[in-house]
Amino acid sequence: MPPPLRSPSVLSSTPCCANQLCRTTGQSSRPFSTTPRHDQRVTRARRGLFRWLTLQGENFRNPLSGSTNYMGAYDNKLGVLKRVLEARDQRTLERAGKGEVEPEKTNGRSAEEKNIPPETQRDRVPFPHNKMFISQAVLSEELREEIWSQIMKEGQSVREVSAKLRVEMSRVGAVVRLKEIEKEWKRIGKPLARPYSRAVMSMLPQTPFDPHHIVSHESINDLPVHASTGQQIFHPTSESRQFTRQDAAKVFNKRLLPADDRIPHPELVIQHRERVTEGLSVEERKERAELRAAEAEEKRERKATREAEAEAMVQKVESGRWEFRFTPINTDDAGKDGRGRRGVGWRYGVPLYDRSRGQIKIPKIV
Amino acid sequence: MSRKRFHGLKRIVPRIRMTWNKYNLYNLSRMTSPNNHGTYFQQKWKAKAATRGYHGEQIREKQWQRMFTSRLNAVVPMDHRYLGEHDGSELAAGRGSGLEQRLEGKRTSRTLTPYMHMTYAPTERRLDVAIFRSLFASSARQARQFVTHGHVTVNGKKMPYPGYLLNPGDMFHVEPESVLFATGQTKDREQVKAGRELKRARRVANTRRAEKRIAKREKALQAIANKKVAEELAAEPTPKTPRPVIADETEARKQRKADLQELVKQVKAILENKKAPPPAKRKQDLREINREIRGTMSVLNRKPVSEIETSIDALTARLTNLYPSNLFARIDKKKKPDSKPASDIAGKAQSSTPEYTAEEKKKMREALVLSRENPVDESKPYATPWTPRPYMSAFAFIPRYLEVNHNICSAVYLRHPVARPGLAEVPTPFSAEQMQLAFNWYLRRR
Amino acid sequence: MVVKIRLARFGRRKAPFYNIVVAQARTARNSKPIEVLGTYDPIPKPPTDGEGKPFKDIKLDTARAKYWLGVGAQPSDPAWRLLSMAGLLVPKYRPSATPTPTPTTATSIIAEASVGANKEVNAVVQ
Repeated sequence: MPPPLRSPSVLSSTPCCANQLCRTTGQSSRPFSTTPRHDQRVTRARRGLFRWLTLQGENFRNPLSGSTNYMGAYDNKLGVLKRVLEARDQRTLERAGKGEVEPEKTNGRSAEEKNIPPETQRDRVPFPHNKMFISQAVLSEELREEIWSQIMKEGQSVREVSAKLRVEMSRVGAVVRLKEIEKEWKRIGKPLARPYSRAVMSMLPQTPFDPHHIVSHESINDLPVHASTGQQIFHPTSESRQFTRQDAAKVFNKRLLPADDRIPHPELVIQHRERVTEGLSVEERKERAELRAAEAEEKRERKATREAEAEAMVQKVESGRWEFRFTPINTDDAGKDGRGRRGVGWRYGVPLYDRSRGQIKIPKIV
Repeated sequence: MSRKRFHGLKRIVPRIRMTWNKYNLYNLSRMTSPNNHGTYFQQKWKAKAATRGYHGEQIREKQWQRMFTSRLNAVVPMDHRYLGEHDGSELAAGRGSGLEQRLEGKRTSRTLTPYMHMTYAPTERRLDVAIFRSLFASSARQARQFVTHGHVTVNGKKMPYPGYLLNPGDMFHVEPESVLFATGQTKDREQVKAGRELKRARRVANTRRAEKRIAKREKALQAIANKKVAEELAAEPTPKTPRPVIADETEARKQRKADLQELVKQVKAILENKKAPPPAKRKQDLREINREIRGTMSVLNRKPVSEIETSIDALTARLTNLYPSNLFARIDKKKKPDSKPASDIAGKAQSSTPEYTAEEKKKMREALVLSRENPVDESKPYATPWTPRPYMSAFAFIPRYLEVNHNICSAVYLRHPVARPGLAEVPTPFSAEQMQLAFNWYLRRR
Repeated sequence: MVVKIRLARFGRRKAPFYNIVVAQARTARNSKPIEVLGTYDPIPKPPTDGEGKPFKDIKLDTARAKYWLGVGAQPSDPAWRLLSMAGLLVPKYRPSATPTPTPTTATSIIAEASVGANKEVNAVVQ
């Protein structure tokens, strides 16, 4: 059965041709050679391959315009998009309900069959046997540009931008880093890989940017599953006790923090609690927010002063080419036997395993 | 391993590989769910063999066994509204007195965390695999080759080890030419031939030009050089466009720094020019200028921008005095070339075909821009204009632990892959059962 | 026997790393010293903020170094260079552009060094 192919406009615009598919099997460039050509032998397996490639495989040769093009979206037997099949069934049902006759299939497919229905999550499965892996959306160019401008131009904090645009904080940082490089390349006139980027972005699902309606890119409050919460614990308490998340965390591990403190955006929880549960007025909330900000600022300052003190201890001596940095140490840190953990320098009488088998020889960090 | 055996059409259970190859796609389409025949050991063995054929097939088994860990990373997305409204005690209240909700009905694939799919998560940390996942190479093996051939940098440093384990926050960058070669269509025979001829012609032309240049220089050097320089100096001072005023000071400093670096580069180029080495006196002058540039660079952040600009101007002027015919004015004119061709095109379009509407003109301009970004260049190792290679779209996905910018062929490894309810971040073609069998295989200590 | 302050080369091929040690003069270079005063990493690191000169890291226990100088330990030339940079000794060699009066005698240096050292050092010198 010849499979219905996609609209010819898509196919004709492509530079691929069918005979490019496989190296021609019949003729040889050296007709005088008597060597058997195992490489090109037509076996049943190869016949199967080329049959599949000319029928169902034809769908994957070129990207589908305006949509992703994964194997999970296709019916492998027919080589047709599942959503197209479903739409067709739907139409037949509707027609049958109305009592219309099936339109004759003389001049190819009708107009309504040409525009493909929008893809769903089901169609974003690249590996048909693994439904748990879905090709998730990437940030669109506009959204990246917006993130960059909010951070670099408007000077907002990563935390704010992350919460507002619903993008993970680490991703926000990475986007800004990459964008900065891109802009630098543009400035110095280094060519960008534009055609490649455009082609790849057309093949991927994207999170669009609309200033009036923010689409959530990913969940920003991911709680990492801690190893010590893996066990089931029977922990009897009195019925009247308010057994909260803090208590539960303590039961799992004495030093485990509750979920409220382990998520990346604890400030969102606090804000929500103040607004909804405690029902504070705007002024009160503002006051508390300022208090929190001041506290954070103080903490930051303390850290900064500590670092500055450590920096001040370092004696810097300039020479012609280098700067020599003398860091003060204490020889007593090495301990009585000179092998203490905090002692400096290459240690004596301790074997080094760095050249032996099974050790990682390549850099661990750059 | 030959390509034939690598993709192995003959096998009853074909091996799926980390490539965008059409053979691989075909094998993926004929993949069947594994039957449960045989002993548990046999099942595990088969599952291990199949999954290892995809995940880190280029890694030695011992190496992978060392990498394997039974700790599987997972996260639970939390709702801040829920956390704000409840303190968790409502889940504990009434436990044992029949008040708790029954969980059986909720246990669907959307709430279950696919831990078993995380079995091969450690391999995703490798540099070569991350490059393949970022769509910079068409197979993991090719990505590995890019790394060993020195086309990859990590955090700006060349990293020749494909087994480098990326740390969260590491940025890796692949040469755009390599990426275009890996992901673009291959040349057909005629294009290859044309490319070779072009290269040959260029080589011949280059040697001829070099010969001519040498002959010319020998003639010209003795007589005119000094006089001409003096004349030109007197006749026309350097044409200079006023530097655009930059409001942001840090931005201005950055720009000035880049200008200085450009100057250094040019001086270096002249000094190291083997074909036409500058005379000794001039070399001294150039070195002097170089020293001053470095001096300016070292005080770049301490002195006011205006002062730095004047010193840059002075340095540029000195250089232009030495080499009036050179391109030293380039720094100041850099802004121009962007606008010029566009206006040229617009002018052309207007003069030749005045009946075009604005819409059409706009379209034409866009098409022109597109063609300029993607020109025909026979000397490239891939078919030009660049188009994505066939069968790429079926494999085009980027997992969430990477943030990729394709314009600059760079990506950031954000974090280690995790499983979350209903989703696993490690891309794998295998079902949960098969992954579980493989996990159990490696779980055992043998 | 003479006690010296010198460098002991550790690290790898083309990746030197030195311990600044106090050792008996006749002992092997990398043998166990009397005391490790600090380390010297001669491989320059690029400046952290991207500007200025590349830097070399030295870790040094100044108090112990002063003590050993006070009791007559003889620094080797490289060690002398490092210690003089840390301000414990008068530099032996100076760039020709800024000539300074060379130290007169070894005893004067030691005396000078021992001024800043602690009490027990002075006691030993006396």
